[in-house]
Amino acid sequence: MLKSGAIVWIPSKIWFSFLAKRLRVLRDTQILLERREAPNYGIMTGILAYMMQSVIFTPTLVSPFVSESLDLLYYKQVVDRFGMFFLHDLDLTLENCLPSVLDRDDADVLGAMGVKARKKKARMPSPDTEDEDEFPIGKKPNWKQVERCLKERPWVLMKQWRWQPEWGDTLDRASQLFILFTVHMWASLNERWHAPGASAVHPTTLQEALEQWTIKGVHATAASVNYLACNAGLLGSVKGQRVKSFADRVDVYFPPIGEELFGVWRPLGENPGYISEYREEMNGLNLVDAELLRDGLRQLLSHCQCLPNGRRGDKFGGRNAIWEVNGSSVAVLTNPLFYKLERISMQGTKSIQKRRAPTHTGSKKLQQAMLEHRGVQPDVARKALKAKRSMNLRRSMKAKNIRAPPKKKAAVKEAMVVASSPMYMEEGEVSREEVDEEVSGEEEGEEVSGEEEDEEISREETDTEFSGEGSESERSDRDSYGESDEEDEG
Amino acid sequence: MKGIKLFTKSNLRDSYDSLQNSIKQLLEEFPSLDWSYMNNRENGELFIDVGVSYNPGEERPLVGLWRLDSLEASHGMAGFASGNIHHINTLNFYGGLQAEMAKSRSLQNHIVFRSSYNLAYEVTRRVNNRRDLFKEKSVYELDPDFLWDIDRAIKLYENDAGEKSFGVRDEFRIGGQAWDIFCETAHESVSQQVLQQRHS
Repeated sequence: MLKSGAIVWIPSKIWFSFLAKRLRVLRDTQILLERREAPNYGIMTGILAYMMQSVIFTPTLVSPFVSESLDLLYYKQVVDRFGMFFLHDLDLTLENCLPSVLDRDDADVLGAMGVKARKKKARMPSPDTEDEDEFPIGKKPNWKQVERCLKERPWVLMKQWRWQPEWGDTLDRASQLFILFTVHMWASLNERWHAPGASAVHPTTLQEALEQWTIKGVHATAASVNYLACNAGLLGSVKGQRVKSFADRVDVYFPPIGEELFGVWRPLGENPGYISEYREEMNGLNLVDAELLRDGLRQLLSHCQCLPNGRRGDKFGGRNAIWEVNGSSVAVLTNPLFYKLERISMQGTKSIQKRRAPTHTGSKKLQQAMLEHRGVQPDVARKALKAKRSMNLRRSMKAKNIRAPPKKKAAVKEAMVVASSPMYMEEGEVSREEVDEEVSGEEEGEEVSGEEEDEEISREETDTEFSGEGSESERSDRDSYGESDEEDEG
Repeated sequence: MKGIKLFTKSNLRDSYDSLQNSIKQLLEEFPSLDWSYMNNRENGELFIDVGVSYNPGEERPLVGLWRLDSLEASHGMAGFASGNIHHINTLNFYGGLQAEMAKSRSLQNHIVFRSSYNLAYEVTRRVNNRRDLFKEKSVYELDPDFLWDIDRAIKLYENDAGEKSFGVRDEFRIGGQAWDIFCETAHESVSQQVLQQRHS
């Protein structure tokens, strides 16, 4: 067999980098398809999962719909002809990216994927089809509804972002800093959370930079996004702490000069980070101009639809994070200025829970019930109980005010109290020495008993040690503990 | 016995006795094994898994892949059942083959099972040998486990694996009675031919 050249030898680098490339491309295709919400996403998943598994092992349990799809793709023929399976017809620019397979998932496919568990994400509409509904979830939704809508369909609740020409009048220096801020912020997000195929963020104009912070921009750049609701400036009943508005977050993203930076923020404060540029700029400005620059940045931040949910700790601790990831998606804050609603209402939220009834009947009622059960008339029972309760009331003031003498305690404790408060030495009859003697006597007694225990334990230990080796001393031990060891021998 | 492979390794190129040595090593490592008792058919049949690994002798790291047509021909000649073919990475010509010996033959030649596979799989082998990576459901949902698994596989392939060599292995499960004969013939039929092939 070996004469036939049964083994092919390939340099490891070539073989493994080939496998890695294949896996990487398959993964990226899968992620792209997921974002696209293709109607046959389930079928495509089946095919791609089969190919990914094949890199590592031979797929064993292949779902029927996958083998059908592979047949439709002429799997055997392709493998025969090209020596390996490829998706020659795959074109991700097309609506239906793989024409040979079914263009829609049927119930079997969705069942196999456990789709019920997965809420289907709604598709992001193209800008021109935007619903201009003034209040899509009502004028006064409750907070839960707002949160849910933002999570599932943020573009419904959020007003469309439009570039306003007057924004172009923003202070030049503020615009430049904002552009730099945008670049550095996105650069600080781990590559893993960037959408596959998304180009690096390099806006050149203010408009481009601001667009990067719209729902659309964030959606296109981050792999998967979780939009968080923000309660700053909303009217109505908002539970919990009010968070900073986008404009007020200027101090988070553009820390004032004196503040030390920690963690992920630190590199941004060093040249050529945007924070260091900002601080240099501020250093050279007089108070009025500095305030103008800061105000320009505030304005720009308030024009953003989304911002990363960053936070800065100080030297006393606190979390340092620019981005936040929840589960498998990047969490971003949404700007409440864009919400289509008038105010937040309490409607539909759970009313405050009432205190439930106590578990037990009150003691008065219980006593009365017990008396009545005995056959006592209700009013007689009530009077009797009242009379019993008023016994204390009938006592004289003098009798009530008298202090009950303390109960006599054990001799030692009493003595200790007296000894530790020398003021009362004269009155107390027990001296400190006597107390010491008593106490130490007790301790000694304890120690003695403790030693005895130790001895017992050590004896047992040695016993077990020897029993494994079978030496002479063991035998002598056995003699002394004859009973138990006889059982062993038996 | 699982996981004793490393204790019984021996190099065929060294000497004719090396296969016998591997049994000696086994018995030294596990003194509780009573070889003559195990090999006595009155006490039952002893099965030995003999794996013959072919490793590249070169300095630069290489990966060996079995050619399936050769494997099929060899298995066919030896009278194995059709078994399971494993195509590696959907490649048509390369992969592994596992098959049982036809019953009638196995009574005569004492070979029960043969498994020919590529050792490169060990890069991503799971500790428990389970093959449950990249399940459709988790791929569909792009759940974090899937993303983590695939990232790790890619990293393994890109970083460490490229620096190492992986050969191929031909594993036979034989009856204890066939062991001595196997030892006598294996050396001749394996190492010389491989060496010749590699230098030709």
